Amino acid sequence: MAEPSRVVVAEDPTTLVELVNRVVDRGVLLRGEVTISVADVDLLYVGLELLLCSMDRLETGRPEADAPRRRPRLPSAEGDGP
Amino acid sequence: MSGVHPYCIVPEAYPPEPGLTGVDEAPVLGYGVGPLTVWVSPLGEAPPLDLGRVRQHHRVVEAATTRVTPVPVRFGGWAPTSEALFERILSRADELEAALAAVSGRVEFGIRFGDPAGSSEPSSGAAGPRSSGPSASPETSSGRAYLRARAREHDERRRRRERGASLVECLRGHLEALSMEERITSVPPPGLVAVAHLVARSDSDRYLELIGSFLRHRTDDCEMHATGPWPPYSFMVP
Repeated sequence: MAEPSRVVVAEDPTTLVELVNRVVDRGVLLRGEVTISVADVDLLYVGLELLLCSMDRLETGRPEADAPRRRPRLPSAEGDGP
Repeated sequence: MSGVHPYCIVPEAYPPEPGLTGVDEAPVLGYGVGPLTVWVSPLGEAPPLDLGRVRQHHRVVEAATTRVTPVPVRFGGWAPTSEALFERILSRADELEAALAAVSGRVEFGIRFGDPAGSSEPSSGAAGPRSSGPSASPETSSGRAYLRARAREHDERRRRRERGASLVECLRGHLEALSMEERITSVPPPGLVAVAHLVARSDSDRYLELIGSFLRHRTDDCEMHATGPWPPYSFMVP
């Protein structure tokens, strides 16, 4: 019988990092590691740049003070439609 | 409505499909706000951050992306009342409309370079002339040792910056045939640099061909990971 705790996570850690870095709002920057476990078995140990929300960006419209280079500059190009 | 968790902003003609659920399996609703539609879920309080909810949030944004390129709202934009959120959106309606036009028909790709040796100690020898070789010195707590360590760290940061810039320049040259927007972010070790590209959806195949070609012809020993297409998270309005 196969070990029930040995579960293969078919997710690329790089994609996971990219997902978190994109989806999570910038606010407080936490650099560290995340261990993803299934059934108490550590499967992935991933270095992350976790950026936790500390402000409402829609309200202020301003990026964090420590990230001036990341201020999005949207292209003025025409849209070509969805 | 009380608290709402926003996912994205789209043109007014694109409400969410009925039955779509998001964070905490809450229904996703579309509300017209001036010329825009915002996709939200009613949530009484700000949802805690975890990977499961991040995925749920992303799935909603991706659902929007299958129909129209949205301006994504990152996880963490919860508002205590829908009215408060709508007011904020209305106050920036022009800017958001311009953002929608700018990302329309485009997708984001991500390139991340990593240094396989980047997680090693700064004294590993790559730091330049101030490296002092094996660092098992008995004077590790002395002022001199401290200053040496700081100098090595400084050299290592500079080396990483220069290496990242060189890689980005090389990649730029390889992709110059394509018109696209670019965002560059420095990343902590063992990463070197992350680049996001906003590419016309119709150029996606060509972009991937060029990335493949770049991968095959590289001579550096850095790790490179390409992901995408993504909704244009890295190019959103702050």
